[in-house]
Amino acid sequence: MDLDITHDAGVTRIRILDEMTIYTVSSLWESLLPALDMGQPLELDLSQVFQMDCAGLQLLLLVVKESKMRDLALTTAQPGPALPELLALIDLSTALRRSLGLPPAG
Amino acid sequence: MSQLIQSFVQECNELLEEMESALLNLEADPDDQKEINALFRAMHTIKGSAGVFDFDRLSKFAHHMESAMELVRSGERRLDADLAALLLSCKDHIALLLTQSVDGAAESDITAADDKSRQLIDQLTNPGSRTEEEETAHTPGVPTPVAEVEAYPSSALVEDASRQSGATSTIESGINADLDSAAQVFVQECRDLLNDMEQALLVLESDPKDLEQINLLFRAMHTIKGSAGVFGFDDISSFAHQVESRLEGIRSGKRFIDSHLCSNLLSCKDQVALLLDQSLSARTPSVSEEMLEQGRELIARLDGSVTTAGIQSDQKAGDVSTKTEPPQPATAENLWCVSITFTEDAYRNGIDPLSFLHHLSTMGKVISLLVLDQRFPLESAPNMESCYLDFLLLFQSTLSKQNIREIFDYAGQDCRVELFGPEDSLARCEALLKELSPEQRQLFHPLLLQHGFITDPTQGPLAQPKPSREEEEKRVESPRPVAKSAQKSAAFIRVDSARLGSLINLVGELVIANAGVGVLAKQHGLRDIEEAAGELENLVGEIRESALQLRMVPIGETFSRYRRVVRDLNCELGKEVELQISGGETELDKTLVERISDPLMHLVRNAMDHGIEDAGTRQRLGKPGKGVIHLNAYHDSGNVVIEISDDGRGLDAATILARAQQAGLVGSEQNLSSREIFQLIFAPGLSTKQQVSTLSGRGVGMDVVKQNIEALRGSVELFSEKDQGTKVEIRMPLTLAIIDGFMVGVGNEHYVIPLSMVAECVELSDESPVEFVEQNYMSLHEEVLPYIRLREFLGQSLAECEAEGERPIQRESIVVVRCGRERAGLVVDELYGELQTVIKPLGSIFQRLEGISGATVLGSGEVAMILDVPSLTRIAKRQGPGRKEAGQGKLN
Repeated sequence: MDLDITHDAGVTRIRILDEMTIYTVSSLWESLLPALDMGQPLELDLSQVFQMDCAGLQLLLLVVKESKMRDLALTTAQPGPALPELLALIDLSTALRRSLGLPPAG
Repeated sequence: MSQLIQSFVQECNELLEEMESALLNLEADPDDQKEINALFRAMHTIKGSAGVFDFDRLSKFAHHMESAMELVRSGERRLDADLAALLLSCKDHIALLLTQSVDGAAESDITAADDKSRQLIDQLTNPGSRTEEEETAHTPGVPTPVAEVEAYPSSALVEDASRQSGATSTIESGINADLDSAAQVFVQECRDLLNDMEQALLVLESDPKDLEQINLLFRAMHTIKGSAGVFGFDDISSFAHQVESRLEGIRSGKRFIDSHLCSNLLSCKDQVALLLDQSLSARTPSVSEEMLEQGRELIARLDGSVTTAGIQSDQKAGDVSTKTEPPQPATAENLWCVSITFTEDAYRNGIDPLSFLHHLSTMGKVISLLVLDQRFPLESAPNMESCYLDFLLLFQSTLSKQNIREIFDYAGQDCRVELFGPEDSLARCEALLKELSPEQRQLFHPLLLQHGFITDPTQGPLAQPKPSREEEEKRVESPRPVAKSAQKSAAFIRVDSARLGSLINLVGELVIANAGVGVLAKQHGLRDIEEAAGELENLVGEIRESALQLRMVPIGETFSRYRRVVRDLNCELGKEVELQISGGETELDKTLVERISDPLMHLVRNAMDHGIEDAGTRQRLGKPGKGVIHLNAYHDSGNVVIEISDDGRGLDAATILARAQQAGLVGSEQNLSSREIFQLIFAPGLSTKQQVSTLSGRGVGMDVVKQNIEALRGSVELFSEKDQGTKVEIRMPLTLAIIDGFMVGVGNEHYVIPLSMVAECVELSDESPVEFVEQNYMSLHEEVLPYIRLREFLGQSLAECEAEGERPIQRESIVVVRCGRERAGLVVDELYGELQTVIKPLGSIFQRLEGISGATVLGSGEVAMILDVPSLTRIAKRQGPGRKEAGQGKLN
């Protein structure tokens, strides 16, 4: 099981338990899609994501995009070790940062 | 150093394996003296080499083990099952210490290992405490070497990495154990460059103004930086970058090289090597915090030795790349707007765009980096393994346009890079902005404005959507990774040495087949075919020459490795020794070079440790304070001779003789010349126990040196003069595969003499200049020449031949051979002439056969023996009247 989905008081909590890389993105996406289809606000927990490559980043952006299209609220509970590092390199737009629940770029 | 350490690690691992099998054999047969000796030698070698590399913990522990083994060897302690088990766990512990020493380890692990060391030593020295010993030997908590390697799980590494800087290698999923072949080339290249650097630094130490060497240093670092980046070795790249920028200061004349700086740069070079090793052995391209700390320290030391002007503090770049992001001279920085597009297949082709970006960020300052996700397919389901992301960044760096493009060369067709500076056409910026989403435009536009890409804020995103013609062209021609690298590698091709080996084997077969054609043509009297076969033979000869040439390498590279050894030992032993090298251009077969380097290392180490006296003693003896070790090589009649000489204390013949008598190697009544006495040094078991130190004691291991050299069909001799010095002379054939031979006939058999050893051939007839003086000496050109009648030596009597219906021998000839300084005559029945000879080794049952060194297959399919000239010469010289008994082998 590479992710853990719980439904709790109208919020879908998704805890990703694996690395987010080219090796895992396909199966992660397949598991994530039903969660998106639940139509509930999403909370993303990335605390167990120790590795993220470009494909992982792409997956994350896609989740953001999809949730926006479905008008779902998305928060990132735990940025985890991999993401901030990535973000130090990359400027995500302020809106995107906000939707991921991250402080705006300084 | 990296190469040395690596060979050390490899050697150690091999030795440990040997030890293990020896111990296991000993468990079955505790009295097998051969295995005990093997065990002892392994321990001794590990101790010695570990000492050389300053792995004190390892060396000390090995020393204790060696002492324990010494007791076993001398029979004072019996190697029972308990001791064997203990030694096995000691062996495992050595493997652990080795890993820790080479790869570094956490403080706690080191302490634990040290405790374990003490415990094991305790048990070794106090054989009483059996039960406890058993327990510890099997304590589950004891880390095995394997566990140690895995004590850095990747997650821990990643944590390390994330602590240490804002952006490191978690982005890289990449380089792991199965490196792709390109990365392997990189590793090889990197090692070569590091070697070059070491040489350059050593030259610079004596001649700090040598501009060529400084340039070489700079280039080496620069290349390492670049390629390390491409292959995702980011830590190496960033470290190399920092060293490179320091070197730039030197190159531009702002700084001068002194010995202090040289030392620091050498350490930096070692650091790169260590980083490389660690990156390779670890599962991820990131390295431990300690290493990075060490790197920072080294850089600080580089800076510390001089005050560099114009250091600009790094601002935002700090969190983008590593904290130690080097200062960049502000003047040379360019601003680039870079747009990078990847194909959908990029991920599947193993390309992680982030690693390129990350590498880019170590080469300069990323002001802004935008991820563009416009390509996401919204209608159809996205394939998560396709790349839909593009990147746009503002980048400030000293790199040129070309340099930046090169960074992306590795991605080849999967990546398209466009870049332009503020001075380039406005239209491009606008075209770019046009493609962005409003949100992104909002973010990027002010930045472009701020950095002068766009002058008029009102114009901005709304104008001119079409890309210029020039840009279109750029798109087409941008990534051309092949052209440049092809240019670079035009001068040399790296070839797998196994392929060369098989080529040479094939050439060998070709030589034999060709000879076969010649023989058949002659048999059937086909004159024209015979001619064609002759032509073919010439060509085959040339092919053979050039094929062998391919494997020839100058020995200089091996020699210069010892410069570092000498330098480091100088520091350790507090001696002042200079290594002189001559004849480095002498070429010999690569396999020989590889196999001779260990024995040479041993001899150099010996000369350093035992040959050269300390400065005080030298002065008392009226010698210059600085000792000299001289490595020399030259060709001598088809052989290569390597000399290692020192001007140290020399060997004391009397002491050696006494020891040899003690050890029972010679009887007390035997009368030996000093030359023979010195040869005793190479006898197994002649150890000088009084001198056991962290370095090898003179004597121990010399038998191994001799064994190794003899395995290469070489010989070794030692000359020494008390207080004048010692010279070891190694004589080896140039190649192991194919030689030019000279075929002779004795009775109905053919024999081959290596042509390079043939001095002349003389007919034995009445008019010949030969005059027999005695039965086994003749006078030729008024010189006394010992000779052997091969027929008698090989045990074929004339009668036998005639009885077999052989045609009677018309006249005998004498072939004069030379071997080093000695000459001898071989009397043969017939001379056939030159022959290309493929040496086939004889089976092990013939190995002790005197006078024969190998065999070859003739064109007719017959087997001809290759005569071993050195041993024949020896026999000819020592032969007395009873020479018939000396002939040992009746062949065939």
